[in-house]
Amino acid sequence: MLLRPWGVAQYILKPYRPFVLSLLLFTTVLVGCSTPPVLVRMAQGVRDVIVSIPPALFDMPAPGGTDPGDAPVVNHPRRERIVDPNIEEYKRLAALAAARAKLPPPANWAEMYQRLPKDDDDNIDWMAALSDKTITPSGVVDASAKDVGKTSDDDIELSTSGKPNRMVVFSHAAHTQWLTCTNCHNAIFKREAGDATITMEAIDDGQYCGVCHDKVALAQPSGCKGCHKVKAKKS
Amino acid sequence: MTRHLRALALAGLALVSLLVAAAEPAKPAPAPPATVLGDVRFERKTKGDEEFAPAVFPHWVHRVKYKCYVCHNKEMGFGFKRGSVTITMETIDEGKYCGVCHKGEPAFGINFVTCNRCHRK
Repeated sequence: MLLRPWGVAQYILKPYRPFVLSLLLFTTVLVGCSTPPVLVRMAQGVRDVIVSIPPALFDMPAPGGTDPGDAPVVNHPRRERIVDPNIEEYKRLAALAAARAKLPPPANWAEMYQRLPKDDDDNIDWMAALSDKTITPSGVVDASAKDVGKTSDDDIELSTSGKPNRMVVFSHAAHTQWLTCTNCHNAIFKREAGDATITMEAIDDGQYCGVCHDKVALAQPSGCKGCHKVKAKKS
Repeated sequence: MTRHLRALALAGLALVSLLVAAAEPAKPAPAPPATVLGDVRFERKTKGDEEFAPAVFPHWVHRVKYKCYVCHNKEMGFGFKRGSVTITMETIDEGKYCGVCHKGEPAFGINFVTCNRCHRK
């Protein structure tokens, strides 16, 4: 039996004839469309379609409209940047503390004095020295001893008689960084709020706040506003 | 030849000035003011050594290292009021008042070398 290759191929491909024919047709059409004149005509057609779409649907100027060109793009923020003064202050103090940590310990007391932050009157601002870690005073002489220091962060409003229109708010937190309860209670102030009648005369006389203030401690900022900070409520 | 010599001299001068600038010690910090707010000058109560300056307690030096209540407490005995304690060299030698710390460790001891660290004009 003589096997003719073409005859064998025809015999095998016979059931797939429609598929082979359509593949042939498709290839012919594809090759025909790829010739330059046809491609140019197709591109022209696509352009015609695009131009016919109203320009308002595009984020670009209309064919006859003005082009913004290279003008800088302004990105309007979606919201105002939040600047929290507390966070900014914290960042400032953290940067200061980091800078202090790099400094070698002061060689002598003159250098130490120079490093201590000063207020407007050139007195030492002790609270600033604490907060920027210029100093880290210890609560005990012997490091193994127990620190008796206690903290109470209550703020106490001291009502004013009205004439100086700014009320004093006593901050426990500021004082307990230096003092312990028994320093003030109950010899200078009774534990119950509202017990003492504190006047500027009494303070100048060395009673109440005047035991320390203006002798070894200064409220900041110096002058009246160090303590009389809060605007008194109209009652 | 002279040009070379001149150039060499200039280079030497520059090197010397550089060395001088490098060797110059860092400016020492200015002395703190004679009295800082809070300093306590003790009043002399004993008779006889009036020519010897009474002691000065620099509050700020102590505040740098210790909180108020380290000294202002019942065990230590320092009151808030000026003049509320009577301190003599004998009480210090017994280890009271200043003598709690000023015994060599943690603070400088009291001897004839350190007199004028407290007793100063």
